Amino acid sequence: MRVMILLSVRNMLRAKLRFVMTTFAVLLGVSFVVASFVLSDGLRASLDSMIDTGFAGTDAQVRAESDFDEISFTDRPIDEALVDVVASVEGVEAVSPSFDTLTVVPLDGSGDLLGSTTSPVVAVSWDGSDIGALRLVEGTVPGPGEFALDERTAERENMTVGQTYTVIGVDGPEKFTLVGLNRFGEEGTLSDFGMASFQLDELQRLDGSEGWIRYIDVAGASDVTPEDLAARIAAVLPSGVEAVAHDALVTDIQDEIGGIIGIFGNVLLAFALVAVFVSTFIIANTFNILLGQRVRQLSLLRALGASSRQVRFGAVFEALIVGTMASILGLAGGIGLAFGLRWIMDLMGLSLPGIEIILNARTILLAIIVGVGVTLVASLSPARRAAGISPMAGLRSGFRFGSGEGTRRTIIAIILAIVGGAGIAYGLFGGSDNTVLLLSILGLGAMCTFVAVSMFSPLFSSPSARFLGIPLEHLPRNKITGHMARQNAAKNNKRTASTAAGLMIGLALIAMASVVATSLK
Amino acid sequence: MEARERFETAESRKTMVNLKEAPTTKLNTSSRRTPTHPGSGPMAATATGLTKRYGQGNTEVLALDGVDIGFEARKLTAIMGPSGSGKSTLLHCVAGLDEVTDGEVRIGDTVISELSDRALTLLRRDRLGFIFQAFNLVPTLTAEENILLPLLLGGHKPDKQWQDSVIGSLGLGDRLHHHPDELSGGQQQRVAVARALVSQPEIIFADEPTGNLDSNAGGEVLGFLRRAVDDFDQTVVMVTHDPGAASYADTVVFLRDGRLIGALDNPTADLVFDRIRELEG
Repeated sequence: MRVMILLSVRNMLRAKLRFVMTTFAVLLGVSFVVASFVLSDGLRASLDSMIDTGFAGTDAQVRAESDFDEISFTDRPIDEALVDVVASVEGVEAVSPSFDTLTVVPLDGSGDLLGSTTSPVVAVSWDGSDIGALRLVEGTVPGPGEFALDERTAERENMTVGQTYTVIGVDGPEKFTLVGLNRFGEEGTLSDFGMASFQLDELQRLDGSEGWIRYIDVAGASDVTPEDLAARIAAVLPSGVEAVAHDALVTDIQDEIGGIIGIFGNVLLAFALVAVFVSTFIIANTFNILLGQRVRQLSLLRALGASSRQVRFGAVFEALIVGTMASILGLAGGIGLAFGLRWIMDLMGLSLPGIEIILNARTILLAIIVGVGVTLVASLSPARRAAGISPMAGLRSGFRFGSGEGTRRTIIAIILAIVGGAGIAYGLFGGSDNTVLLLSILGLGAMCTFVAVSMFSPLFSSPSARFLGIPLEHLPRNKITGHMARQNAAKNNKRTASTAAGLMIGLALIAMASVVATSLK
Repeated sequence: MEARERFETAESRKTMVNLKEAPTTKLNTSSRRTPTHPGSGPMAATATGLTKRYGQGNTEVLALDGVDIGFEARKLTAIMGPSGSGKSTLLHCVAGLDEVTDGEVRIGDTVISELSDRALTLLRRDRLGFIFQAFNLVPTLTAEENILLPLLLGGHKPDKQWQDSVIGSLGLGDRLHHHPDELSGGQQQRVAVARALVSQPEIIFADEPTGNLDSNAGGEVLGFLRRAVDDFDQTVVMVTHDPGAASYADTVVFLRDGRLIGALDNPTADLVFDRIRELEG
């Protein structure tokens, strides 16, 4: 087997460019997979740390009980009178009532509303205490007639401390002075959410919600566990209001956000799957071409005494090298892609400045499994064909690699087309409430159709080459070359089809990307 | 011996019909170049009733039509015939490269027409040597690696002394690390000869070994094949269409339409040429 390894390596070194191209196809697929996992891991970690920061000083929180299915941006408000009730519970050291609303919005210097649909500005109450997550970085904590902004929004909107701005509340516009800049935790906000901070009384008045608050953050004494504290508070609360201990609170929010990250990750993963699928195609095709070019060499090896197994081993070994290289480079490429995507999202205003680039062992393992696995799977059929080359193949003239199997190929293509068509139809119109199931069936259907189309393509390539080649034969000075080109393309329909397959896949990808991009708008 | 007798009977019948004034009508009687092996030596390979058919029905071609032949050990035998006579097919079938439709082929005591593909592969690797007309060498391997290829495929250690003497006698010492595309056609064929010799096979099969060479380089390669027999006691079976190349052989056998139609011992180019004219006339 050592000589087959030597041969594989030499063959790869000799056809460096083709080797690089083959590797590149796998590399792309691996990169997408890696990037999708790196980014969702990073996003999750960043959000987790943000949540930790947000609730660092909170041992328990009092809030309105929410229905399980209810998804709303803000919880229902609770009676401000509960603050005193909670404060009197044994073990409670400090309480911080808070309120937030989307209906109170400051205007910037030129009179435009702050924020946009992708980065809204939330009005929050802020008392400058250690319990919340907001930290003052410049100026003072706002009092009556004053407000503060997070430093990023202030910078972006060109608003300066000391200036007076208009704030729109339920009773119309009012003048407020910007007195301070703050920041979420130590590192700033993760999302593009802007925050305008007001004194609690002022915010309640602006929102027309006097006497209502949304949360009471509670700091407990050091000898009480957050769980005990929550239980003690819960005992004095009216129905419809609950007390949640620190850990449960964090888990709750992580779960909620986890769903959003999941969607984000799944979109990336869908792209990754398509990329992997396409690269499987490209590699299988390239291996077929490579081995086709090597028929004489392989048949010489067979004549000199290389067994079928040795020849197959050589082909698989080559795939293994391609797969390993692609996995390693794809890992690097994926990390690069993650940085790139983060940068692009930044440019698009979906800013995630705090997002970390996290490379888990799981991601590395996946990169290797995908890279090596895909290449090996793609090489199986070409390797089997290579092993079947007879020692006579190179000695007889007119040998064509991989011909035959026409009927079987057509039957498989027809079955795949039917299955694929049915899958797409069910995915689009099927009567099921399970979106994930429908999308998966749709995706599988599309893949089957894709394979079927590419298997059918040799049937179409001859007639289309004849038709498309007609103008070539009417070129004023190149009639004969045009004729030969047309005949050649039409005669070897499989070669024409497999050459066109690369372009076909590329076009399909571009079409898909632009459809998705347009739909997102 | 049975096969050998049948071969002789069949052969003498044919020669009587076809060869009116042949100087030597019997195969394998003597050799002017290897007087140490007078008379009929042992057979390195034999074929009995060897038939090879391509295609089916209307497109059926009978490439070999019941050929009986023996190739004597430690001799250089040339197979001649016009194109389409089946000479290459005969070589491929005897060398275990092509499947036999009917008949029996033996290499030494092994009936190879009954072997599995795998066993046949191992037999080619360990017991036979090959020189082809073109595309003889693996382009990505150096000359030395090409020479050692059959041994490497079998995981065998080369006999260093033998290897050096083969390489030395072929004058390839300073070409070992060159790739085939850096070698002349003659040098490439010499590498192929070295490859065939280095595993010390029972028989070396050469299919038009000089077909792509000019006469100088061709003569060189033929000289080496001759020396392989004379100096190294090898057995060589060579297909050629060139009477000059055939004159290096101990025996020339003639094929036409898939049948053996004659034989000539101790040939010269002129004798071979005359015989061809007779056979075709």
